[in-house]
Amino acid sequence: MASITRFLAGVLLVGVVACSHVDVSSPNIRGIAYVNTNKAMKAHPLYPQLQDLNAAIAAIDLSAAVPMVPKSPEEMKADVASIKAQLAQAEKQSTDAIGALQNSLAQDERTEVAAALRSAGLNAAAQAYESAPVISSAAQAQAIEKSAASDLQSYQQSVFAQGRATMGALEKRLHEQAQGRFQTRAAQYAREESDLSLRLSQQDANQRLALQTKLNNLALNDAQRKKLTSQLKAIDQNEKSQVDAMRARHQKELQAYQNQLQAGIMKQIRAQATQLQAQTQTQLQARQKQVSQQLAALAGPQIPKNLPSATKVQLEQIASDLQQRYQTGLAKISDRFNETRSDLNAEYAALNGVDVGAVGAAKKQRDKLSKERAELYKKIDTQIAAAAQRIAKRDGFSVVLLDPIAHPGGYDLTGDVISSLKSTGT
Amino acid sequence: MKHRILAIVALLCAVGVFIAPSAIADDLTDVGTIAQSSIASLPAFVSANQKLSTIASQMQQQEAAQMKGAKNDAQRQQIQLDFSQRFNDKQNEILGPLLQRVQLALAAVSAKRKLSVVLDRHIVVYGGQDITTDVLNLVTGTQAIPPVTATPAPSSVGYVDQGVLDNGLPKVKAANDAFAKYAQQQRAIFAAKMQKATTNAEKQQISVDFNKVLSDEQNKLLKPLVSKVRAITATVAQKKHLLVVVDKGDVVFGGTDITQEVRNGLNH
Repeated sequence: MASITRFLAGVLLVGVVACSHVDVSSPNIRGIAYVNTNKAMKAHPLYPQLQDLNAAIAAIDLSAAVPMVPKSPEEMKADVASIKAQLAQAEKQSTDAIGALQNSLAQDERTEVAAALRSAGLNAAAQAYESAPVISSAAQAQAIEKSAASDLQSYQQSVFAQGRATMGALEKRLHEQAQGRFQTRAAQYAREESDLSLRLSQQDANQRLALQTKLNNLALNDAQRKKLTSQLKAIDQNEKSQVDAMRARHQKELQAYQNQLQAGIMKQIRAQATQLQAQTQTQLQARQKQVSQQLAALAGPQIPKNLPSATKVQLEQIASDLQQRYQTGLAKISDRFNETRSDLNAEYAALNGVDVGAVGAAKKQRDKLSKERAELYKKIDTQIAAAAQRIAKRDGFSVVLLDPIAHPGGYDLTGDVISSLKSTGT
Repeated sequence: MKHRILAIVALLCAVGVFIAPSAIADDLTDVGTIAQSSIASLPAFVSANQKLSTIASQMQQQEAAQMKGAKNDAQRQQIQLDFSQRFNDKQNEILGPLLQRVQLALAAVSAKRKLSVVLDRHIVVYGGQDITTDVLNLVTGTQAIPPVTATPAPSSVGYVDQGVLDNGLPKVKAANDAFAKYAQQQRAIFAAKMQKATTNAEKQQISVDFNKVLSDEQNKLLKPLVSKVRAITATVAQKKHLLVVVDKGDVVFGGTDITQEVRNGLNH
C-alpha cells in the first residue's frame, strides 16, 4: 500500500514539474520567445558601469554645449603663449624620459651581461664589466660623443679658418707686389712715350714754324694755303703715328707682363696651398686620433673575446631584448608626446575659432569613454544573446526575437535571461 | 479514493507532458532570417551607392546655386521639391533593378523553404532559417530569377511601420516636437550650470540631473502615447492571431502588415 502511494506521489511529482514548466508548443507560444534587451541590460551586473560611462559622456557633451565667450586679444595671446609653453614642456619631458629610459636600460645591460658572464664561470670578467669606470648611461655616452664631435668640428673649423686667413694674406701680398711691378713698368712706358712725343716735336719744330709763317702771309691763294695746311697736318700725323705705334707696343708688352705676373702669383699660391693643406691634414689627423683615443677610453667595459657559444647566444639575446625594450619605451614616450601635441593643436584650433566641439583633453576623454562604453555595451549585449540562446536551446524554442513592439503570444524569456546573467555572471 | 484522485491528476499531467506539444499546435518553422548588411556589401550595391553619393553631392551644389537665385520661400520650396524628386528618380533608376532582383531572390528562396516571413538577422537571437547564403547566391548569379506567383503564407509575425505612426499622427508628432524643444531649453540651462561646476563630481551630478529631467519629461509626454500605441498594436495583433509584432524595418520579406489597423485604432 505504502509502495503504491510512493509510486503515485512520484508520478504526481513528475507531472507537476512538467505542468509548471513552460510549454513551448502551446498555441499561444508555438516555439517563439522574445527578450526585452533594455530590461535585461538594466538587470545586468555591469549595467551600473555602463550608466557611469553614459553620465561621464553626457557631462562632457554638456560642457561642450556651453556657448563660448569671445576672448580678448590679450587673453588670446596669453592662451597661445600657454599652449606654446606646454608644448615646449612636453618636448622637454619627452627628452628627459628618453634619457631616463637609456639610463635605466644601460644599468639593466650591465646587470644582465654580468650575470651572463658569471653563469659562464667568467667571474673576473663579470666583476670587471660591472666595476669598470664607465659612463653611467647611454645618454651620457651620447652627450660625451656629441661634445667630442662638436670639439673636433670646432677644431676643424678653426684650422680651416686659419688656413683661409693665411692664404688670403698671401694672395693679398702677392697681388700687391704684382701690382707694384706692373705700375712701375707702365710708368716707364708712359715716360718713354712722352719722351718720344717731345723728341719728335723738337725735330719738326723748325719745319712746323716755317710752314706756319708761310700760312700767315695774307697774299696766299687758296691752293697754296691748302697745300701748306696739308704739310702741317702730315707732320702732326707722322708724330702721332710714331707715338701711337710705341703706345700699342707698350700696351701689348704690359698685357704680357700682367699675364706673366698673374701666372707667377698663381704658381706661388698653389705651392703655398699644397703646403698648407698638408699641414692642416696633419693637424686634423692628430686631433682626430686624440679624440678617438678619448672616446675609446670612455666606451665602457669590454666583453672578453672567445666566449663560449652559449654565452654568446645569451648576450645576443640580452642585446636583442634591450633593443626591443628600448623601442617599446621609445614608442610609448612618442605616443604620449603625440597625444599632448594633438590636444594642444586642438586647443589652438579652438582658440582660432575652429568649431571642434569638445576639444583637447575633453575630446580625447570623450573618445576614450565612448570606446569603453561601446565595448562594455557589446559585452553585455553578447552575454544577453548567449544566455538567450542557451535557454532557448535547453527549453526547445524554435525562434527567439529581440524587442518586439507587441507580443500577444510567444514566451517572455527576459526573466530567465536575467536569472541566468545573475547566477552565472554571463 | 485519495490515491485514485492523485493518480488521475498525475496521469493527466504526465500525459500532457508527452503528447501535448504535438497535439496542441505546430512550432513556428516558417521564420527566415537574413543579414541585410551582407546584401548591402555586395559590390553592385556598394558601387550603386557610391554613384548615388556622387550624384547627391552634384545635385546639392546645383540646388544651392539655384537657391541663390530664388526670390521667395515659395520658389525655394519648389526648387527643393524638384531636386528631391529628381534624386528619387535617380535612386529608383540606379538601385531599383538591384532591389527588384533581391526581392525576387527573397521570394524564390522563401517559397522554396516555405517561409512566411524573413526577418533581419539582428533581431533574431536564436533559431529561424538563415537564408543569407541562398539569397546572395541567387542575386549574384547570372541567370534571371523567375518571379514567384504564389504569395507567402499568412504569417504569425506581424509588423507595423513606426515611421508612419510617428509622423502620421498629430498627437505623436506634437509630443515629439514638444520634447525636442524642451530638451533644447534644458540643455542650455544645464550647460550654464556645467560651466560653473569645478569638480568632476559636480559635473557628473549635473549630467545625472539633466538626464533625469529629460527622462521625466519623456515619460510625461511620450510614454502614455507609446503605451497606447503598444496596447492598440497588441489588441490588433491578438485579433489577427499574431504571436509577435515587430517594426517594419526589421521585416525583409513577408509578414503581416497591421500598420493601417493600428493607425485606425489610434485615431478612434
